[in-house]
Amino acid sequence: MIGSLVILELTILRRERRAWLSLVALALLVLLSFAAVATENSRTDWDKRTVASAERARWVGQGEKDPHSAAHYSIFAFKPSAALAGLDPGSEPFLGQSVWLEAHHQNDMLHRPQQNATLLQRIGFANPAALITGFGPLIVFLLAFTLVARDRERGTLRLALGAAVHPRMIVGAKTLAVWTAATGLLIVPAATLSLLWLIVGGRLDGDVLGRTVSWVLLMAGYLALLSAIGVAVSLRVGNARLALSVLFGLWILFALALPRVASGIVDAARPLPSSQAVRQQMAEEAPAYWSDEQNARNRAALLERYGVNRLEDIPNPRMAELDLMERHSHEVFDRVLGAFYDKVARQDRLFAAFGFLSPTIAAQATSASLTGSDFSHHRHFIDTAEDYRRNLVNAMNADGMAFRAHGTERHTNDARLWSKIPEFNYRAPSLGERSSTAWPAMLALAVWLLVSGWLLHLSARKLRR
Amino acid sequence: MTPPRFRDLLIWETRQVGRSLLLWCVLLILSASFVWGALNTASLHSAQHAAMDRARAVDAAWHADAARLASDFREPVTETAGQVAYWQDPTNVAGYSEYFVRKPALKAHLPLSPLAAGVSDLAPSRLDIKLSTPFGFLDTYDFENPRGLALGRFDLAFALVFLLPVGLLLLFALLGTFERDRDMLRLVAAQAVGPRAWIGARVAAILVWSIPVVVLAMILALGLAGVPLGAVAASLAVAVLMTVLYIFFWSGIALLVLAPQPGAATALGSFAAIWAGLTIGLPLAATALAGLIDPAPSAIDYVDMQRRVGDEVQAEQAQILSAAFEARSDLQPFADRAAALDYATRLSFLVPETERRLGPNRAAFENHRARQERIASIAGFLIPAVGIEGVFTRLAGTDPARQRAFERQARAYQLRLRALVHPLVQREITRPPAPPERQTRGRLNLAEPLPLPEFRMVEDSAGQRIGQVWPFAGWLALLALLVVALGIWRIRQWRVME
Repeated sequence: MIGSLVILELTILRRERRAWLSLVALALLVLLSFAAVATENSRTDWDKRTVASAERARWVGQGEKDPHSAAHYSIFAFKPSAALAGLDPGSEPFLGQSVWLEAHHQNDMLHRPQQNATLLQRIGFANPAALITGFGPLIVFLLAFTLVARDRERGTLRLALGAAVHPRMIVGAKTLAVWTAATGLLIVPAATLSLLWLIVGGRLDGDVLGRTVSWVLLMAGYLALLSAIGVAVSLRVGNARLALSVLFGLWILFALALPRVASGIVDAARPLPSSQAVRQQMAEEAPAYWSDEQNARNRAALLERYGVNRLEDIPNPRMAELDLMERHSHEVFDRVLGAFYDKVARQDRLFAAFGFLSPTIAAQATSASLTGSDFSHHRHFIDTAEDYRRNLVNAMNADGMAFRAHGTERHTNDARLWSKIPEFNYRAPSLGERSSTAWPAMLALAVWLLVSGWLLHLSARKLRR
Repeated sequence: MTPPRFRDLLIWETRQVGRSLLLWCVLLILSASFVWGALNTASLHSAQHAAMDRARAVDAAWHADAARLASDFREPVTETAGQVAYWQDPTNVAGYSEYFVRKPALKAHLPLSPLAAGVSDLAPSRLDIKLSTPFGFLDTYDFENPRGLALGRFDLAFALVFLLPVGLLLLFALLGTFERDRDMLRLVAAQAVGPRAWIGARVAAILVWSIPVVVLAMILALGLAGVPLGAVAASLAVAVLMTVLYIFFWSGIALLVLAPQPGAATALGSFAAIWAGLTIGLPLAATALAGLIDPAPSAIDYVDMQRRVGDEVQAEQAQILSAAFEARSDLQPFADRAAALDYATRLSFLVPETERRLGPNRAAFENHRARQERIASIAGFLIPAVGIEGVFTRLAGTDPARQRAFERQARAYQLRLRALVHPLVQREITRPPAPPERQTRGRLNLAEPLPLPEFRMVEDSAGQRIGQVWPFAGWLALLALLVVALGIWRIRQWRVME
């Protein structure tokens, strides 16, 4: 019975030219943006793989040299785009894609895709998730209004309710029809295309499949709660004009205003220190080129560590000092930069909590987490690359320290040592591993779903009376 | 029956519209969004100014410390205080050039900057200048939460460019369709008034209230954000004028949509579609097209190129140095010293060569960026939302063109520093080499750290900035006039049946 009703409502929806065309136009925009983002990501990923291979070859083939010089030469590491970045690139366009893993420095990740974006590129930068979360509410509300408020205004809804045994079934059918149309056109094609893209690109595995299914469920849930809100408002508000105004206002509030307002509040409530201050602190506490006074302190520390009275009794005091300062810098970077990144995570968590005020915020935060394109996932890359850098530099320094060299003497090594360093291969965290910042958003979405369902239920009950 | 004069109709409509709660709610929300937007950007810029102040303080401390070390290292070598390494010694001109010469290049915000965040959240306003960084500075940036960057900043320009049309269209749709939705249109049509005068008076009445409120709210928001209104009066006046023209443009759209006298649902649906098309759809399509026609050079390939050129220059350094010595009459007699140069002195020859080899790649990026900015500028004429955003950022000084000028000047500043320091470094090649054992702790071939010039950005004047926006202002005025005229022309007869 309800199936037939849903089909009937879908037929009515298709006949409402304006609302239906708006939905189709948005669906086309979603697919177009997917194609644009996925194509660009594939092109960049190919470049990254090619240059990463070249980097490995350069590292192994750098010739005979002092291991510390090799640690300075080191490699560039490249962050592959998230497998589902075509559906939601999240923060990736505004995050660096490459990092130089050299001795003494935990360098910033550079080459942000949007670094030099023009105003047109920033305004025109769109992706499926942004379009669905930002304009989905407008379209869904328009569909819901078309199916319910107009029927109500014309009196046809009363007629239908009078004839129906279960008025709730009519309300349910209308909601399901709106949801089916929106999900069928906005989510399913984009997700299917993404899966095909991943299969062709050889990136589909269990984790990616799980992420895709989760993303589809998330977006379908988001559209479901919007459908419920749209239908409930259209049923409950006094007249069609007012219903439309309320729905239009909700769209502006949920999707246009609150996400940016919340972001501004988060920035103000939990401000990040400036990069300048962070870099300055790191340079002061762990300088790459230290002073003569620091030299004296280092010498004293080394004499104590080796239990000797003269530097000449240490096999390679230069490398031992480099190692000392390098390991000291690790502690500084973890404390200063780690604390900075923790603050970014806290900002993201607070932003996700604003999902209780706007389902759009909740959907945005959850989507970026599910597609692996939020800052938490980026941080995983930063940490992985930094671990690799530390292991590489420590191995180089350890090799130097193992051989005696004083004054201007230099111990050197060659490809036998360089090739012992494993290749840098990054594996993104699996689903759920780096989702802590998105938990408030997921909870908020669940609450929104419950509240909107309850609202719909109440509206249907009121109709019966 | 004599039809009422438009003036009388307008006065009557103005009174009626002025009593609408919806009007004041929308205008209040818009005003609040202006204030929030301006304060939000002012807060970002204030934090950036604080970072610049810190950079200045750090720079002053750094050079004071170098002067202190230079003084200390004039002392004779003792058993406990030996010779210092060249990279720790500001009295060694080579060490000084590589390890002590560093200056910040700062781009301060203009007084009207709270008008638009522009590229100020994305592009750095502070660059560290060192002599051996190829092309002036690293491709670094001040970290802003990328989630916020992806969402876009809630600045005054966002409120004016995106929210203001939404608010106005909501007013036009709901206040302009009241009679249709209440089945009163027949009654109105039966009066001695034409649809053109009636709809025109209603739209004009909404504008009579909206324009002064919007303008006052905009000025108030900027004032609250700390903008010295008197000092920026001319730029502010242009920003206000642009806002009014933009309002007229959207009013023309409203007339076009209201011409067939639709109900609120149809009007709002049409407005939403047009708004989304003009502010999202067209920019998206234009961006995709621009990317297709002129794809960006690969930044990853550039990394590869840097590494390859770096390796080549290292491998060929003997030949490069030899050629450099050969080309200089003052250095020719000392060709045998090329192989023994310290790292910093070598760099003074090798970095320019690295830049020469990477030049075409770098130019490809710069040219692509310039082309994209030209495309964005042209697109601004076709997409008013992009155009007016461009105008606001230009007036606020947060536009990409100013950023590019800043980067160009930072590069010129680096070359100026090199011209000051490198001759002193390379002059040492012609002098007798230092003995391995010195009397003093420092090398003392640089008596004092050099008085390095400060970076000062040469700016366009406010008049020049205003001059740059007139072509678009003229275009927008024309476009607004055209759309309004088209809208009025389209209202020809009563359509009592929807």
